Amino acid sequence: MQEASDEQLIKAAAAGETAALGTLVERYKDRVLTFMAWHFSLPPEEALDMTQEVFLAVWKSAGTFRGESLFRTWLFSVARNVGLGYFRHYVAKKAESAGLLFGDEEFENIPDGAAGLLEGLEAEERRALVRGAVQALPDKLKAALLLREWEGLAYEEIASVLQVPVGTVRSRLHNAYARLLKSLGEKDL
Amino acid sequence: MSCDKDMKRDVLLLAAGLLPAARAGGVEAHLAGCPACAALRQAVLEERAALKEAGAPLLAAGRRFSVTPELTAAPARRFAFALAAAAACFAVFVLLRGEPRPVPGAPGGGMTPAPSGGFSVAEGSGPAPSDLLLKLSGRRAAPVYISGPRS
Repeated sequence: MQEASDEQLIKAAAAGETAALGTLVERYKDRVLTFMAWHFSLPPEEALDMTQEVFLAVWKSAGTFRGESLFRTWLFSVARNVGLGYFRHYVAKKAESAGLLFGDEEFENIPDGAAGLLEGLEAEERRALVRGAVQALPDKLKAALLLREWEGLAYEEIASVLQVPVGTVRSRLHNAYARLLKSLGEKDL
Repeated sequence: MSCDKDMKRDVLLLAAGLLPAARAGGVEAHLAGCPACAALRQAVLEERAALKEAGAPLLAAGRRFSVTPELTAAPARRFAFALAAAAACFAVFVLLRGEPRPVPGAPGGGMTPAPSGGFSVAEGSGPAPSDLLLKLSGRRAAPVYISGPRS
């Protein structure tokens, strides 16, 4: 079961194999939790409850996964819908004001590039520095970065998951990279 | 030398794999003759490599987090429980406004007994309230940690 692909597992889950769902939960629980916390700007405890709702929705709608996209693209779409459903019911205004629903954003200014910013650092130090800089980004930029850099989604897929125009994905990612460059440049390495 | 904002934006988008193909050729040509923009592209490529190496600073759901078939059935059972509770309230209401209101100790009196087969929580129709509360509170009690590096 551990070796099976995501797509095989979701099909097995649709056929009623609870162990398959369990494996998917183990594989994705932290990633979905982080996505919920970042994309919807939720505190961890609330994001955890929402994550549970996401996997319940996955369990119930496993049969609707047709394999036309990667499982993780589908999963994050389910997560986004669960989150948005929550916001629609309870705090729609918050979602709107957090820029979750609509709109391109401005491209931020980019600092002059200087290659080799992280040279000369020990690997652990470099990792800590980068992770600290990521943590300091606004939530919605982190969510876009998560889908792009660590989940490996194409930007069209990210637009589909987040239900925003491609231009918005581009500007969010652009701003994330620009802010990180600035932040790492200010470390005076 | 520092190029204009639009060119720097396109250089960054190119390095991030986000520039539409139609604009990529022009930016590539510019990069060949512009050390500042070439350095910017290199910086973005290094930044992306560092991001991959560092891994996402994920939150951790904790080992107790799980989605079990038991829990997936919970909404239906919660509904059954709510229905049973509503029936109980209705039964109490009917009892309290029964006509005529019986007088304890009066001949032939005594409190009207609940009709047999009236409200009860059928075996297996839902969790006992305490179980339900435990389950719901247990969900919230799961700890959330910031994890170490993940990739």
